[in-house]
Amino acid sequence: MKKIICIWIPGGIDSTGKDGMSKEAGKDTRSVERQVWETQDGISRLARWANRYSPLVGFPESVNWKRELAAQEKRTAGKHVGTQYAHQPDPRAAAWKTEAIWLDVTDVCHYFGTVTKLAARISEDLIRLDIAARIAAASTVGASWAACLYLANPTVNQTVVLSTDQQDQAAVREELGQLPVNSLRLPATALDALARLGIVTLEQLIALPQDAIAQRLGAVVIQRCQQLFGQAIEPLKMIHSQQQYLSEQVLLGPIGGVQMVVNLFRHLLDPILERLKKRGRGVLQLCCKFEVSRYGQRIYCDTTANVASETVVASGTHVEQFTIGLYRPTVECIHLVSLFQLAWEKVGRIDEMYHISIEATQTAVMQQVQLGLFTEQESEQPVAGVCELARDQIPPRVLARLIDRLTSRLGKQRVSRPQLRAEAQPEFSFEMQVVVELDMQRWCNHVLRPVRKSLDASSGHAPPPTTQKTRHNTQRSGWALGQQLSIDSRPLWYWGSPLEIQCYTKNRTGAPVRLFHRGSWQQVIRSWGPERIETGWWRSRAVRREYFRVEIDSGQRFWVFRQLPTSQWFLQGNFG
Amino acid sequence: MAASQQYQHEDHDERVGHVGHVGHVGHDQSEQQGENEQSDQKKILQQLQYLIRDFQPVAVAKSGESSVPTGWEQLDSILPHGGWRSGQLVEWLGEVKGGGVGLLGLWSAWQVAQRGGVLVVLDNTGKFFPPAAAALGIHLSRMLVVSPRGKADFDWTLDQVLRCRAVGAVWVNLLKIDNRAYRRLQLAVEQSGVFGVLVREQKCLQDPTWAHLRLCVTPLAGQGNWRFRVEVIRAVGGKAGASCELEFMEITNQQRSKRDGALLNPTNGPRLSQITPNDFR
Repeated sequence: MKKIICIWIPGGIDSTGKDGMSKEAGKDTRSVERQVWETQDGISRLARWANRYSPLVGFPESVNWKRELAAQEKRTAGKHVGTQYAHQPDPRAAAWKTEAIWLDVTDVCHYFGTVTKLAARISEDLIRLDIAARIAAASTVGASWAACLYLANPTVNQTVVLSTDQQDQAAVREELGQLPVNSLRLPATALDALARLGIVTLEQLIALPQDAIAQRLGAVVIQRCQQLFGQAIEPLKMIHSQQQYLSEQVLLGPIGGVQMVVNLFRHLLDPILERLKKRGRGVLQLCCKFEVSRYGQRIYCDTTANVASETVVASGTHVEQFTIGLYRPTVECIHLVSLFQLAWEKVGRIDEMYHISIEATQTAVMQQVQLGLFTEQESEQPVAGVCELARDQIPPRVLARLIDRLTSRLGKQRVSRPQLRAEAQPEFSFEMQVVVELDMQRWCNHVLRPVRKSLDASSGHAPPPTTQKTRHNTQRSGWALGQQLSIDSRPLWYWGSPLEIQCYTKNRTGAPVRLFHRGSWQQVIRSWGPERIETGWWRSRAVRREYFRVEIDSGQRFWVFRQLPTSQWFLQGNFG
Repeated sequence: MAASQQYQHEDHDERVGHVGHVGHVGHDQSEQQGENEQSDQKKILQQLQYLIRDFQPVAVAKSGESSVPTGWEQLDSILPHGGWRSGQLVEWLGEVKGGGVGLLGLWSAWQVAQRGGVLVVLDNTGKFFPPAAAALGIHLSRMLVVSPRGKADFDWTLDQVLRCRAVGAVWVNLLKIDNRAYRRLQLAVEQSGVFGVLVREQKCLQDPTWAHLRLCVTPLAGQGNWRFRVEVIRAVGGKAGASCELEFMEITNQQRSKRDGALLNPTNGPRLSQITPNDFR
C-alpha cells in the first residue's frame, strides 16, 4: 500500500510564508492576477520546503489557478459564481485545488521511523514556522484529503493517520464511510445533485449501484469513489522545485552604521542579481531578514545551529524582517539599494547584527525591449539630460520607480488614485483606489501621454474641448456621475465628519444670512442653494440634507448644510 | 537662514542697480547733448533684464518648450513667459480656507500636467475632495494622491515627486518650509522639469522664497461671479508688481454648449467656457 501525506493550509499560503488564516480579514484587496501569482508561488515554496521529507511532492490534478482563485474571491465576497445551486456545497470542498499539497512517502517514511512520526514531525516544523495546517496520512490521495477535511482538528496542528496496512482497510473503509460526500473532491454540480437526492454520507453513496450513479451523476463520482478506496490509481503531478535566490551571511555582531549595512546588502544582492540576469528574470519581491540586538541587549548564540536560531526566530524579538515589493521586475542594484535604505530607516536603532539573509521570494521574466539599431542594450540608468525628453517619451519605469519608492516608505494605502462613485452623499462620492491594484504598465503609459497631442504644439492653439467621459466612467457611472457640475459647486477641502456651526437663516428660503466662523459672526453676502439630498437609507438611516454654498463678506466661500429634520447646521467644506 | 536669503536678494538687486548706474554714466560721457536720462536708464535696464533672463537656469529654457497659457489673457500678460512653464515653482498665496487660492493653483497645475505626466496632489491632512477636481475638468485617472504622515515623510515625498521626470505637476498646500529645503525644491524642479504649485497662507508673504513665481490672490466679494485679484509679488525673469482680475463664470451645461463659440478663447486651455477672461485692470 502507498503512504500519502496531505498538508492542507486553510486559507492558502502566500509567497512571504504567511498562512491565509493570519491575514487581516477584509483588508486583502489584491487583484486576482497578483493573488494567483502569489498563491502559486507560495505553494511552490511550500513544496520546496516539503522536499526535505520526500522528493515526491505534488498535486493530483493540474489546476487553473486564475479561475479557481477568481471563483474563491467571489465566494468570499458573497457573490454567486455563475450557477445558483439549490444546495450550496461546503466552500472548503474546492480548497484541495489551491491550498493543499501531497507527499508520497512510501519509500522514505522508514527513515523517520513510521508514517505517524513523520506526520508529527511535519506538523511540529510547521508550528515552528507559525503556519496553521492540517495534516493527514492515508493510503490514497482521496482518503488523506478526506481525513484532512473532516477528521483533523481545526484548532491545532494535530495529525490524523489512517492505517495504510492491507488488513486494516475494512476499518478504514468503515471510518471513511461516515464522512460527508463533500470530501470526495467532486464538482459543485455533482455535489448539488447528490444533495438533491438526499445522499449525505459516503456510506449512502457507495451502497448505490455503480451503473446508476454513473448514469445519473456522471462517471466522475465513481472514479472518485474508486480513488478514495484505492481501487483506481491516482498518480501525483510532481511540483518541480524552483531555483532559490538566497544569499546570507553570518556576522560577528557590532555594526558600523547604516552605510555598512547598505554595503553588506549590496554585497549579498549582487550574486542574486547576476543569477537572475543570466535567466532573463528580475526581482519582484525581496525578503530581508536580520538577527539583531538593540539597546545593549546581547544574544550569544550559534546562528548556524538550527536549534539556537530557531529559538531566536520563535521568540521573534530579535529578528527584523521586511519585504521590499516592486511593480516591475528589475535587476538594477541601485534601485533596490535605495528601496532597502528606505525600509531600513524604519527599523530603528540596531546595535549588533548576527545574521543577515536576503531572498528574492518573487521573480518574473524581464520585459522584452526592442533594441535600437545602434544601441547595444536599453540602459536602466537615468538619462543624463533630464529635460531633453518630452513627457510621452519618458519610459514608464521612471514613474513605476517613483511609486516603488513612495509605497516602500509611506505604505501602499497612502499612494492612491481617486475615483468618483455614483453616490449623492459627499462622504461616499469618491473612493481612493490603491495604486498597487492598477495595471502599472498601462496606467503609466496613459498618464505619460499628453491629454491632447495638439497641446504640445508650440502655438498652444487648442481645438475646443470635448466632454470628459472616459469609457471606464461610462461603464461604471450611474446618473450621478453623468452630471457635469460647475467648477465652484464642490469644495476643495472637506471634512468627513462635518463640524456643527451656528447660523441665522432667512425665513422664506431657509438660506443662511449669518454664520459663526472663527469666533465671530460673519455676514453672508451671497448664497446658492439649497441642493437637497435624501439618501443612504440602506446604510443605517436616511440622510436628509440641504446644502448651501455661502460667501461671507471677506470673499471666502464655504459649503454648509442643514440636517433635516433637526435643522442643525454643519460646515462640511471650504472652497480652497 | 531667512535673513541670509533676504540679504542675497537685496544684494542681487543692488548689483543690478550698480551696473545700470555705470552704464548710465558711460552713456552720459559719450553723448552729452541733452538726451533724456530717464529713457536711457529704461533702455539699459531693459537690456539687462533680457540678459538676466537669458541666464535663468530654468530647465525648460534648454528644452525649448513653449509656455502653457493660463486661460486668462490678462494673467498671461503679466507672467514672465506669457504663461506657465515646466520647471517652474509657483507659489500661490492667499486665504487657503475658502479664498479660492487652492482652486486656482490646482487649475494651473492641471494645465501643465495635460502635456503629459501624472498630476500629484500631496494631501497630508486627508481633507482633499476629489469631486472638486473633477468639477474643474481634471481627469482623475491622471491624478495621484499621496498622503504622507509626519513632517519628515512630507518633506521627503515632496522632494521625491518634484525630482521625478514622469510627474507633470505637483500641487501641495505648504505651511512651513525652511530655507534650505525650499532651495532644494527649486533645484529639483529645475532639474526635472516638473511644474510645482505651492499653495500657502497669506501670512507667508513675509517669508523668503525660492519660487520662480509668487502670486498673491485676494477674493473680491459680492461682485457678479467669483472674482479674484492676482498680484505678481515675485517673478524670476519678469516684472513684479503687476496685477489683474480673474473670474470664474457660472455656466450650466446647456449654456456651455450653446455659448462655446462665443466664450472660447483660442489660446486657452480646456473647458474655458467655464473660465473667461475679464477686462484688464
